[in-house]
Amino acid sequence: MGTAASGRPASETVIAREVVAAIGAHAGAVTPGVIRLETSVGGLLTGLGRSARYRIAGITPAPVTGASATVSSGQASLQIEIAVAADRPAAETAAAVQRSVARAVTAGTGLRVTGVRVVILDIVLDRRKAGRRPPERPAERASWADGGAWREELAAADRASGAGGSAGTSGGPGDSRAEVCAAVLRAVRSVPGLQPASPVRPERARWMPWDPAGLAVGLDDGGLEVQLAASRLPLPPLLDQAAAAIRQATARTAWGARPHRLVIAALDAGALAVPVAANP
Amino acid sequence: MAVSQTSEGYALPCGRALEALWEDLEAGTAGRPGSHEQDCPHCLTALSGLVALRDATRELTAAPVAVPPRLTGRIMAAVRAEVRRTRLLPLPAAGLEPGGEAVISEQAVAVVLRFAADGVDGVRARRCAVRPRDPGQAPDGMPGWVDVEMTLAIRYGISPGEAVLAAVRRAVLAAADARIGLRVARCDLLVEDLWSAPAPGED
Repeated sequence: MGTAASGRPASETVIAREVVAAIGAHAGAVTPGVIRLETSVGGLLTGLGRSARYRIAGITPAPVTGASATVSSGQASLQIEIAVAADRPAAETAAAVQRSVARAVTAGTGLRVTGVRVVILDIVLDRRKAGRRPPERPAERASWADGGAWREELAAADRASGAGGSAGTSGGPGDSRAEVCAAVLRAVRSVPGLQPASPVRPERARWMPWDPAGLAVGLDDGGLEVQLAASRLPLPPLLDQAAAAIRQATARTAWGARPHRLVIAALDAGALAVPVAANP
Repeated sequence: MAVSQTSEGYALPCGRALEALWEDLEAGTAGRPGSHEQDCPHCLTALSGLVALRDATRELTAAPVAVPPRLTGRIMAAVRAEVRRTRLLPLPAAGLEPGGEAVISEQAVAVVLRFAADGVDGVRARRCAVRPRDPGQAPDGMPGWVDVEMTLAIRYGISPGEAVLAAVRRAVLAAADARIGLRVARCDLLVEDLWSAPAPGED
C-alpha cells in the first residue's frame, strides 16, 4: 500500500507465506486431473503443529499440505507437489495446475506470481484405488463466534466507560496502550472477514484480565502491528478496509502518525470453501 | 538482614513467602476470614495471580487432545512421497506460463511404463530406469526426451524375438507420450528371465 493522499504514513500490509501456500494448495487440489496433494514427512509434521497452534487460537487454518510459497516485495513463487491421474498426460495436468495456482494466488492476494513449480510425485493408474479425497477439511470446525462473548463484554465495558463509539470509529481513545489496543481491535472487528489472530482462544483465556485478542496487537515507538486472520477472499479489499479503520481509530493517538503494519498471518479454511462436486 | 531469595524462596513485601501462599491456596486455606492475606494488598495481588495461573494450568491439562484423522495413512503417504522425491525428471515446458516449471518423479514414470509393458501378452516388466536426455542430443533438440532401460521376464514358450520386444517398445513409447507427455529417444530392453504359466488343471 502506498502513502495516503492526505500525507498520512503508509500502512504496510504483509501476507504470510502460509496463507499464499494455502490458496495455492487449494487451487492445485481442485484442478482436473489432480488426485491429491503430496507432502513430505517434515511438511506433514509442520502442518500438524501449525494446525494445533491455530486451534488454540480458535482458527481452523486452511491446509497447506503439498504447497510452499515464498513472498517478497509484492511477488510470490510457489511449489506444488501432487499425484495425478493417468487418464491424461501428466505434463498437461502440470501446466493446468500451474495456471490455476497462479490465477488463484493473484486473485486472492493481489500478489504477482513469478513462478509455480509443479512436482508430480505419483501417477495413479486406477482412480478407484487412489483413495482420492477432496481437499482436506477440518473434521471439527472451530467457530469464530467463540470470540463473540468477548466482543459483547468489550462493548459493554466501552459503554460503561464511555470510551467507545461504533466499531472502528472511536471518538478518540486515550494514549494508553490498553485503550489504543481496544480501539484497534474494534476497528479490525468492524471489517467482515477479518479477525485478530491472537495466539490464545478466548474461552481458554478466561483467566486473563484483558481481552486475549489484544495479543494480536503490537504497539511500540516504532509503530503499530496487527496480526490478522482472514475468513474470506480476496484479501486486498479487506486489508484496505482494515487499514482505513485502524488509521481512523488511532488518528487522535500517538500511533496515528506512526507506521502501521497489517499482517495476514492465517487463513481460515472457510475462505476456501467451494463445492467439492466441482472436482472431476 | 540480607535474605537470599534464591535459596529461601520469594518473600512478598509483607514478609510472607510466595511458596507458603501457594501451599495455602492448594490446601484451600488461603484467604480465610481473619487470615493475614485477607487484608494484605500484597498477598491479595499475589493470590489473584496464583489463582489465574492455577486455573490456566487446569484448563490446559483438561483440554482434550484429538488425534488428527487418518494420521497413520498420512504419515505412510508422506514416507512414500519422500522416496519418490529422490530423482526428478523435467517435463516439457509446452503449456507452462513464463516462470513455470514442471518435474515428475522417475519412479512414477517407471510405474506407468512397467504397467504398459505388462500389457503385452507373456511379458512381465521388472526394473525400469528412466533418464532425461540432454536437449542437445535429442532428436529435435528440444527438452522432454528420455532414455528408458527396462528388464523383462518372458513366458516360457514365447519366442523373445523382435515381435514381442517391438510390441513392448510400442507400448512403452505410447504410454510415455499419452500418460506422461514424455518422448522416448531410446528404449533398451533386457530379457533376464523366463517364467512358465501353470498347465491346465494345475493351481
